[in-house]
Amino acid sequence: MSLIVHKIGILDTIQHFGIRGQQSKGIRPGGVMDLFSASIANALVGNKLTEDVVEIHFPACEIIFKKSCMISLVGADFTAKLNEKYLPLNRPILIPDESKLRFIAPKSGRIVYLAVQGGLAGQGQLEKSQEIDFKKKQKLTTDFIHIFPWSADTTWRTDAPEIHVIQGREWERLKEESQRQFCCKPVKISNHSNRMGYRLQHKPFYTRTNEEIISSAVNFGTIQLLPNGHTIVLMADHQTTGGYPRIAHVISADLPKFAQKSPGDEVIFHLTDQETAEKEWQAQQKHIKQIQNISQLKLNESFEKNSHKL
Amino acid sequence: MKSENRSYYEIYALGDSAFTIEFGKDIHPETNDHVIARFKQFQENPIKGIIDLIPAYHTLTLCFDLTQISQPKYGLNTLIEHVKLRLEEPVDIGEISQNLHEIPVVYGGKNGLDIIRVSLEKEIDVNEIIRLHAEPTYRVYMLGFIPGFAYLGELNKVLSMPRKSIPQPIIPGSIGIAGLQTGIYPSISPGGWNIIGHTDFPLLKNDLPILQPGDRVKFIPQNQI
Repeated sequence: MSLIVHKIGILDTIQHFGIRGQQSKGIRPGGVMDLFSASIANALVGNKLTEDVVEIHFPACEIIFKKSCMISLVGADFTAKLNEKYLPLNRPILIPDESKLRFIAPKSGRIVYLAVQGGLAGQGQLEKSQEIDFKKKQKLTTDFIHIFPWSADTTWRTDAPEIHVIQGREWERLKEESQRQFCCKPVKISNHSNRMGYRLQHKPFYTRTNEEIISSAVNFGTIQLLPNGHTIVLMADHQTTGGYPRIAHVISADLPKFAQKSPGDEVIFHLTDQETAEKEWQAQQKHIKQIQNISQLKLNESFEKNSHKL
Repeated sequence: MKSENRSYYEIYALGDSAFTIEFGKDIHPETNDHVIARFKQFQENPIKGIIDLIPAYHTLTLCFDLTQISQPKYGLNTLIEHVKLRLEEPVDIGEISQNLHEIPVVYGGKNGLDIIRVSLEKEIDVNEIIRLHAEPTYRVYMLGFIPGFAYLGELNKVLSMPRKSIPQPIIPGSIGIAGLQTGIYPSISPGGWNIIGHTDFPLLKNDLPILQPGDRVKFIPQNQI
């Protein structure tokens, strides 16, 4: 497999699924922002669910595939085009040698994942490759692009604004009116949002006390209250510890949906409990597993049926 | 070596995939000794489903794999019961490293601008701030935030400042204060602490932190403003 970055996208990276067991040294887990989309992208091409993927933001990179391979795109719709053909999301796609993948315009969502069958081993950092001048190569072809006739149901990543949260240690610091505001009033995702955290725009929250807290661990999804009454939601590249009050935490099952919100999008937080959070997570994992099983079955069937042609 | 069994602790949720055990209310060397001992206990004898441990000043956080834990037959409550049983066992407060690091600091100037704000807000002369900050021998309570960041305590109460409203970009080698904490930023990072000085002291060697929990740090002022 040979993948060449023709044009870099500033925020685009090859992502793993999080390093574990190193946070005591201050090393953050990192990993994909939207675990759901990234897992399904892998499932569609028959990879293990946690195979490395390309995480693409807009303005996006352009990628050249030297050799024919099977890919999938799951997550945001950036109007993907391979050579001159539009590619759908949520399907396995066979692409020919010397193909060029680019993204024309963002339509919905914030991040799209590209999975490549067999993984991206040895690809390393997503940096512009010096080795070819693509313009000199032959005309791009739309022949031999095969889009498989099935697609994964990714409706879990809905565009609905509701995001479920669990109360944080310092929830009670919020005055009642601010607690009510937090729970039912829409807030906007700020422009100041990146892989470390998404800032939120809302009327400032008021607290009963401004006592400094002693720094301790934070988590992916932790909602910190800044001293000016504003909030920030910690994302995949969050620091391991922090000292701002933790008013709430986005539940794991809603993190993919939240990660896909773009600046200006509205979200509404709803309080929930551990039991519901676990049920939602189980259901989501089951959904991913089902897609993985069905994909594997369909891919096998398809190759058996077509093997005589090869 | 002394064996200790602290009875006080409190457990609280840190989202749906982690919980924190708080062993005290303040920054205290004995509490921190206990945190480090409990960290080692869980590290040496792991519990199924726990995937990360984060020791801090007075807390130890356990991150778990929600997929393993949210199985109907296991569940978070069962996990917490396991943890509570472990906390019943006494732990040895072992030999903790106590290397002394002398760190030269240039206070104030363009890489320590916030010292002026601290001075105005506290109505304390800048030289007095330097004296108070450089006076104690600090303890490294924890590593965290970003690789190589050592949280030091305890800062003189007179210098206790709130964190900034909005995290600002901070350059490597910056010395910050917040609440009763002080620390050194090892790499470029956003941060909310008040930056009062700068050091060239290396904090990472081959990407590994030089300061370790339990170590001692003494700041040596390099100039007067």
